Amino acid sequence: MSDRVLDVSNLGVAVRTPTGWRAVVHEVSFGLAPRQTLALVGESGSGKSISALAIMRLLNSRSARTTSGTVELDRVDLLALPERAMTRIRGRRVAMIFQEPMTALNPLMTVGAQVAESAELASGKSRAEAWSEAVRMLDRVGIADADRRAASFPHELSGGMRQRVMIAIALVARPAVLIADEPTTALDVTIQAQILSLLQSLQEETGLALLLITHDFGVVARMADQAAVIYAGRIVERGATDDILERPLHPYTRGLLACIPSLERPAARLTVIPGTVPSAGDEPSGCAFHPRCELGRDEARCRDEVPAAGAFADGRIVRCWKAEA
Amino acid sequence: MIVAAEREFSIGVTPSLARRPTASAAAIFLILMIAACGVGGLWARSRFAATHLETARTPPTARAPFGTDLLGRCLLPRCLLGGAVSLGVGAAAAAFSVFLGVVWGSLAGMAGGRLDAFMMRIVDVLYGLPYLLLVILFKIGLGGLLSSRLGMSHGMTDAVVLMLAIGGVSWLTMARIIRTQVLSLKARPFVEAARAIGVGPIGIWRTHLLPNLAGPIIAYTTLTIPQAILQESFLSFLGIGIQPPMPSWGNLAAEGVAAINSVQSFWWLLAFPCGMLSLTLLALNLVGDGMQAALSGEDPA
Amino acid sequence: MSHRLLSRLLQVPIVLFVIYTLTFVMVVAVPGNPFQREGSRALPPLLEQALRQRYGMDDNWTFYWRYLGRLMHGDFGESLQYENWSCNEIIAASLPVSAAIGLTAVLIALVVGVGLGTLAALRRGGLVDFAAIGLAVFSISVPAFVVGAALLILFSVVFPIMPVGTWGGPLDLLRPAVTLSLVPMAYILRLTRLSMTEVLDSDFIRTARAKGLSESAVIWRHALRNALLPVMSYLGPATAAAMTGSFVVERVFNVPGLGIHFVNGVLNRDQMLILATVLVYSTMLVTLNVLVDFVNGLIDPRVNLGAPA
Repeated sequence: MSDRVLDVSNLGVAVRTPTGWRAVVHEVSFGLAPRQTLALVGESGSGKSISALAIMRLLNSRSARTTSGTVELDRVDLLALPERAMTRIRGRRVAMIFQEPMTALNPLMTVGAQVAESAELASGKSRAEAWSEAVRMLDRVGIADADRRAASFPHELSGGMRQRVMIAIALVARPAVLIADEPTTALDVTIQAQILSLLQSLQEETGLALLLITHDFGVVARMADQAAVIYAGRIVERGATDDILERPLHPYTRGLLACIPSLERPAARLTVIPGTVPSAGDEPSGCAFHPRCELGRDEARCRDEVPAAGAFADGRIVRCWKAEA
Repeated sequence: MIVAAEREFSIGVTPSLARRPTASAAAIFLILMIAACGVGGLWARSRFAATHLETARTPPTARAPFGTDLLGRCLLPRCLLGGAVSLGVGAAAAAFSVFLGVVWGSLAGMAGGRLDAFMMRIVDVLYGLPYLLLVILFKIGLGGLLSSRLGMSHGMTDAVVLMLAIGGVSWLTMARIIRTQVLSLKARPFVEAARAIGVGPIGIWRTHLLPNLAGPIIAYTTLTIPQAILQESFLSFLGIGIQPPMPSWGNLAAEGVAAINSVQSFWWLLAFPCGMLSLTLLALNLVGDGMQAALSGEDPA
Repeated sequence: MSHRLLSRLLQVPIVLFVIYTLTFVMVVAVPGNPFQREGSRALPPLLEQALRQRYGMDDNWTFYWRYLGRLMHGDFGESLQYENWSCNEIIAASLPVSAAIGLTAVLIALVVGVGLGTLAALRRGGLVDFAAIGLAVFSISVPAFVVGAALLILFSVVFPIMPVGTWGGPLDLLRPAVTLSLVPMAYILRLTRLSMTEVLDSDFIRTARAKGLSESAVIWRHALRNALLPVMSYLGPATAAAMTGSFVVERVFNVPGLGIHFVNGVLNRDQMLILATVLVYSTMLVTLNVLVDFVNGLIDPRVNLGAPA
């Protein structure tokens, strides 16, 4: 426990709706050690991206706010810091890359300048030093001819290239933690694989702790040591990735894994979880999953009481009244 | 599809306009102003020109609530009739401009290709020229062509020529908006389906495009009317528009400005026509903005 | 990059030729003889004869080509109204005045419009936003001659620090320029507010914040430049709007500018003066639009100047 660089506990986030503030993230807790990768897995709308933005304190204050919890980075609670202090930590200690490489870069600045800006902020280097640092970093993330490419504008690069630039922007500041929000979702499959192995090798090199947000169990299996499955703003199952993939304990996790087509059993019919993800702030009572759950659909307890987090022998945490080891 | 579009429109706009207090207040003010100028204009037709030199330049009194002008004419009927003239010319010009814009934009959008490019290039060029300059040129050109042929009274000819000139210049934005809409609608499946079953271009335009264009047309029309009234007042202010003795808010304001001096104040000559004109334009713009925002908030640039 | 600029530049004379032709048609259609005006300032018959001869004004076709030929040599002809004044002299005397007012107005519009628009976007829904939107609606609604008259009364009658209807020092430039700036200012304000709001919500701004840039650096270095792109393309129409207002504003403040001469030309059916002023205005605007296009290409790398328009 003591070696954790990031420790999120009991995080709650609310968003503004036409009828008032609604809680969309509840009691989210997890920790992350250097060199470790934790995957936050969930469908769109489950609250995984908004949790990441809350950790970075990048929520738009007009439309969302954190309501509870602590986010400790190097034992300092980020949520309690004044904005000025947070500005110094953002980028430098904890960096973030986003899903949409098409729109996440400033269209009017060369990519080199955007990486250099990050380097300059982190180390206080001179403009020229920051530029050569940026070129080195672009080279490191696999951009061929980085010297010349640094002078390109984002629209002149492909999606994969732009995501490499995003990674360069994030990692040139040598952060301790990187939050990657669906970093490969918008990319072609072959490019996805390249970006993922790039992240892995950079992680080995720098000892980065990686918080990977994804909906793709393929990515989880490949990248993550630990996984946390999130449903309707609540982590329903958390544990070592291998354990979860092999023996999912929460019915939702089981459902998700059953949805994945497999090469080993190509003839098998894909299963579908009945029903849809509840919309933000409109969760059912008790366990938010119970109307879709084959075990809990008719159980009074599942309907009335939010499941407590239960710890299992392999270190797994599961929020389900019906889960058995 | 069409029914749905129309219903969405009629249900969508009215209540959300009612939920905007500024726009609603402006709309009520407008109705009152239009009624006053309409009824007052009729009443004023026989008295706006009566001069009483002995009572010239009297400030507002019970007998002449708006005061009298340099020739002793009572300002109240002149302002009301002037309002009727300004509003009438403005509304007619806006209607003409909407007609031109819809036709031009639809033609360009439906035609596509080179004809479209050429038609829009013309719009671009005209767009780059000062509005009022074009209106004035149109006005003098049309005036020359029409004045002898219309066989109408002087005042009426002025108004018609002015209407044509203003409308003939201010259709550009409408044409752009309509063209963009037509282009995007043309690619929709229901239009392609109609084309596949052999509906001709005019049929497609009437039954499939026009109902969907109604929203943008109405929204932009509400912003064209104040522009047209403004143009009319500018021209009349400059002495190029409605000619005295026929009043319009613009030429009444010109008389007021001409009377500004540092010795004696004739504030009513300026305040009443300028105030009525400004408040009307303000109200029209507020209603237009409210309408625009109610209709999905397209930006008015 | 120079390819598109070149083709745009080549279009300028074509556009101007079309404008000349259209204006000519309009002007020749004006009823009545420009030389026979009521009032005492009609030209002496001999002079009229000489002018008609020189420009071939008895035949419209001859007049059209002869005047075009003179234009090619930069000669705008002679005013039919002001004896002994060539249009070139009139333009030389009045254009600088109008240009100074117009430029000042556009500058004021740009600074105030962008400033208030940005503030409004940053404080959306707040008091500043409310005031800025109100100012924009006011500026678009209230006619220039009303604002002008108000300023005239305020500074000449209520606080008599400037005389009515005279034209003197550079200070006299201010009132017409402020009046003229209101309409383009309102449009620039709305445009800036809208595009700034959009840009501030965009992904790359989130990236900039995630880098650890301070909020002011995010706005100055990343948001503003992007938000100003639509404003830049509006500069052409903004200048056109300033010019349109100038006819009225010059009349209110008695400014000896080009607008007054155009209006007087129209009122006096001074065909030569109308043609001359319209062409001067058009040349300035068409050139300006090309220039704005060019500058946009410099600012925005996505505008590919090599591709055909």
